[in-house]
Amino acid sequence: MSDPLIELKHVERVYPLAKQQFFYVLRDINLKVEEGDFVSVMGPSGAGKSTLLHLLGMHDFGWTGEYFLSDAAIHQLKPKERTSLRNEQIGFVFQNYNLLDDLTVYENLDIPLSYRRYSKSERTSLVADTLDRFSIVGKKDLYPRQLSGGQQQLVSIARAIIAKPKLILADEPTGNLHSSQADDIMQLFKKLNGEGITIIQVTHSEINAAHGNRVIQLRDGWIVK
Amino acid sequence: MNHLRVALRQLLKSPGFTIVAILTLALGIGANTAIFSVINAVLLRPLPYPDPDRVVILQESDADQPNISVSFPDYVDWKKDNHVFEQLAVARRESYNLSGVKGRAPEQVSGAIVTANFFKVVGLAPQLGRVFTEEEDRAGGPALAVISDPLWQRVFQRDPRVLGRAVNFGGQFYTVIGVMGPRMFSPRTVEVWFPLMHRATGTSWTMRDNHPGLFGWGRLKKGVSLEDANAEMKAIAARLTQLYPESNSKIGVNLTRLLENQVGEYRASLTLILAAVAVVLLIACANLANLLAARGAARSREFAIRVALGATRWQIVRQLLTESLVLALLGGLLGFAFAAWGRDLLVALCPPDSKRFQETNLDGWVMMFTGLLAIATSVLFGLWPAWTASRADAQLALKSGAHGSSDAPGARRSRELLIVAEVALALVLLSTAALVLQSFAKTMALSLGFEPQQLLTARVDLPSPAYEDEKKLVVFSNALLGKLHQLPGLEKVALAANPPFMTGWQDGFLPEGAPEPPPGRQPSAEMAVVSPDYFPTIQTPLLRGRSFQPNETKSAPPILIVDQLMADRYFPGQDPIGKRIRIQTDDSGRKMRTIVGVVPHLKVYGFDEQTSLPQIYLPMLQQPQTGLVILLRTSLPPDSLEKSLRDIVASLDPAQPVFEVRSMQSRVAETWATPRLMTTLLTAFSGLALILAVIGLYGVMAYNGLRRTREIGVRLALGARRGQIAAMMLRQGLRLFVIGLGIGFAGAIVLSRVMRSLLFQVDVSNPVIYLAVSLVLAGAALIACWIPARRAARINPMVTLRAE
Ligand SMILES: Nc1ncnc2c1ncn2[C@@H]1O[C@H](COP(=O)(O)OP(=O)(O)OP(=O)(O)O)[C@@H](O)[C@H]1O
Ligand SMILES: [Mg+2]
Repeated sequence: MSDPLIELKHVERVYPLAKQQFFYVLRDINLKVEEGDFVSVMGPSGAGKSTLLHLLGMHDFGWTGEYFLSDAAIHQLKPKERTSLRNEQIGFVFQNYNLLDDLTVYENLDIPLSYRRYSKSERTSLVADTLDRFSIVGKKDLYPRQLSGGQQQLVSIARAIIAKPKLILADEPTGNLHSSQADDIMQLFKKLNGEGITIIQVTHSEINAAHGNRVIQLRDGWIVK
Repeated sequence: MNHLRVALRQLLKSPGFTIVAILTLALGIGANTAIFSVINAVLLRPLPYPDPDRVVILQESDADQPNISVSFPDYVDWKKDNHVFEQLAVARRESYNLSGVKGRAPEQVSGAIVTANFFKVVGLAPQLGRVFTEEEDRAGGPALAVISDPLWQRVFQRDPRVLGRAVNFGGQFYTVIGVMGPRMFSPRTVEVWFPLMHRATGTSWTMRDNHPGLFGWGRLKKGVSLEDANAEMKAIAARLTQLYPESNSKIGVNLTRLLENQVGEYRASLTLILAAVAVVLLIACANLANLLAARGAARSREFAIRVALGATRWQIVRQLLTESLVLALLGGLLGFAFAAWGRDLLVALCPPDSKRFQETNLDGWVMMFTGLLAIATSVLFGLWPAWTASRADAQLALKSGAHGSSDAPGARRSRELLIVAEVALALVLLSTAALVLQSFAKTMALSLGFEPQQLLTARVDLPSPAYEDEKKLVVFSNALLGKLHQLPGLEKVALAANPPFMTGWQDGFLPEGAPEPPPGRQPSAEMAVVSPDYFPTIQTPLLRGRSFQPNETKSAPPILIVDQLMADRYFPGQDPIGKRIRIQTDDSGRKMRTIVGVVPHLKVYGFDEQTSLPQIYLPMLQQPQTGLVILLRTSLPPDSLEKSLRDIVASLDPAQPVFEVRSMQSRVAETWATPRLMTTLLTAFSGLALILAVIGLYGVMAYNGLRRTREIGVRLALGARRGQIAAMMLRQGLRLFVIGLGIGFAGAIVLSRVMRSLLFQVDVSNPVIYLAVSLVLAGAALIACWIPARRAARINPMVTLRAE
């Protein structure tokens, strides 16, 4: 195989607690994720899973170490360059969906496109395609509060992939769903993974993790397996 | 009671909010209280006379001027023919040297000659002694005087033995027979009253075409309205026109209530200022409404719980209104205190010539106004937030504890509407202030035709018996000029009668060879009598010809100087030098005077002179005067010469007071009092409005930023750049601003038409003013929007998305 999609070398994340006191959330993380992987990050609460995901998603810059994404050395990039790299490559799925309340399903899907270089007509056709693909055309004019939890998460995943990312980062995407809905979402992830999208999800569930091809165990900031 | 306790506890719980709210209200209510107290004192408070609404001032009018004084024969006919007045009197203001009182330097007092029934018109009885009777008020009647309370106090230390005492007023002894009470102040500022007929001698009283400075004073019969009286007086005037076409062909009559006559000129300006403070209060209310609505949103859980526990909607509204009322009353109290502190400052700004401004105080009416205003204010800013809060969806509020971001339906729209209104109101106020400011600047920069800076003026009135002889006048004048020349720092000195801003003498004239006009239709000119150095002293250039010479005395050929207006009007296209003019009262109109010089036309009454008459100058050496004005041009501060000036006059004649010692600049500035008041207050209030509106805009933007934190976090996670977030927030604020600006423009333009009459030489449709005002407002709005926008753009998505 070629170079990995993601490579972390000696990455650490430290929060200052008080004077001269530090709290190590992530310690000496060394990690390779190949293109096409479906990785599940597991571990007890407070282990640093979300922190790792936000770090990978470039929401957080307060870490040390080296981070390569598709050959780009993230730790050497300026914030602007990181943002555009993120916009090209990454889509996000959240535990509580984070759809915008005041926007319709259609408009929620359109947000990521509005922040990237797409023409008006491209946006229209991409949103239409995506609605079609997720079979939610009938819901396009509804507001998030008019959808069930599973439907909201469906929309949120649709929103994550609409700008054609290489990588999906999902933080407990099924945390608020009951098991049958969770299974649907996992099937969807599997399908997306089959289409070549790399997925990193945080999950507490062994069943969900089983859909992936790899598990990373975090404990107190260390990768244990 | 329970509501009140809960309300107080709520307000104490968030002292920051409470302090901001109370201060905002105090500023708004305080400003309104202060302005209302002035309006109350000046426009509303009735005059301290019995049935003051029945007292009416009568003036005549002619073809050129809407208001001229009353002809005595006309008055006699009015009195005889009317059925609307209980009493109809006439009065004329004069001034007198009061001298010969032991231990007092001579001083100038303002007095009036009045018909005996004048006191019945006013309706006040003397506090001591009596007033003169109809019987005593006749030609050749006794020399009697009634004095005012302030004069009794100042000169006679309230000594009751003043009755029967003979006092020297203007060189003649008058027996004091009465003292009026402290409420009596008519005609304006008069301190002593004499029987009119005692002095009404000579042809000026019997000639119907002469208008010798008289004002009619009438007391309407009970039940007669001003309109009825007006109609009847107009009918009488029309009859007089038919009977005496020679003198009365263009003469009409005007009636105004006494109060309106005294303060009518201030009505428009004061109303404008009241409107301005009302706008400030409205903006303050809009801010508070937004603050309260934000608080209400934050407390939606509390209300939801209350509703779940059985509260009705009205109970919640009442609870919130109680809080508003407490805020408003506290704000009102503090505002009242602000107004009380600011009272002296405000009065100092007011026109000094009206006593009623000085009587501004915070009386019961003002207190009531403040109380009612506070209550109205509390409803104005409290009702909408209370209503919105009470509509909060209980289920939603209880569930959405996690996000806490959902607005009650329509809340955001209402919030934005308030901001739009604030911006619009602030723009209206700012552009009004800018117009008035520009008007005031024009006023101050106006060229009067002479230089009032560094010019000291003072009056000396030489009493007629002692100075009856013209030679004595000339000797006195020459001696005075000689001594004044030795003053340190003196550049030029001149004597004059009726110089600018101390003027008021008009006379008929006729150029030689012009056709004899019909009687009463003779053109008139503004007259002044001046010493040779007059024009260099006031720094007015000679346009043609020459000045008066020191050797041109009575024995030299009679001469005069005219202004450019006279030259243009009566000698168009010709050289006026050498032409001759006849003055009506000069040697009974038989003498021809030759024009030797032409000077520019001067502004002699003030910047906003309505009509202007041509001006004529006579040489003082040919026309010696008893009423003199000393004009000193100096390099020192003008007021510093006062003492030396008094000493010099006293050394020439210890019996002569020097009075009204003032710089010419202060006389000029006095005519600006009303525009200055308007300018200062409008500028201050529009500044306040600007600050409040900007705070409001900032508050709403900051609140929006806060409310949208999670949304912004999501947007950042979905790929938004920080610049895009800032732009999004900024756009939201600026959209409101631009809409507000548009509405404000419409309002400002409408208002500018209305206030055109209050402005001086200002083009109300000049776009530069509005552009400048918008730029100021835009700058402020940009800052108000930019700070919250930048803060919103700095949100860390990791933190906000985690906080759930
Ligand atoms: N801003 C911060 N300052 C200090 N400590 C923090 C901060 N943010 C996170 N932490 C700590 O970092 C640790 C890891 O947090 P993280 O959210 O990554 O855990 P997690 O593995 O996702 O847990 P969970 O399964 O409960 O979501 C926690 O102990 C948390 O208290
Ligand atoms: Mg987590």
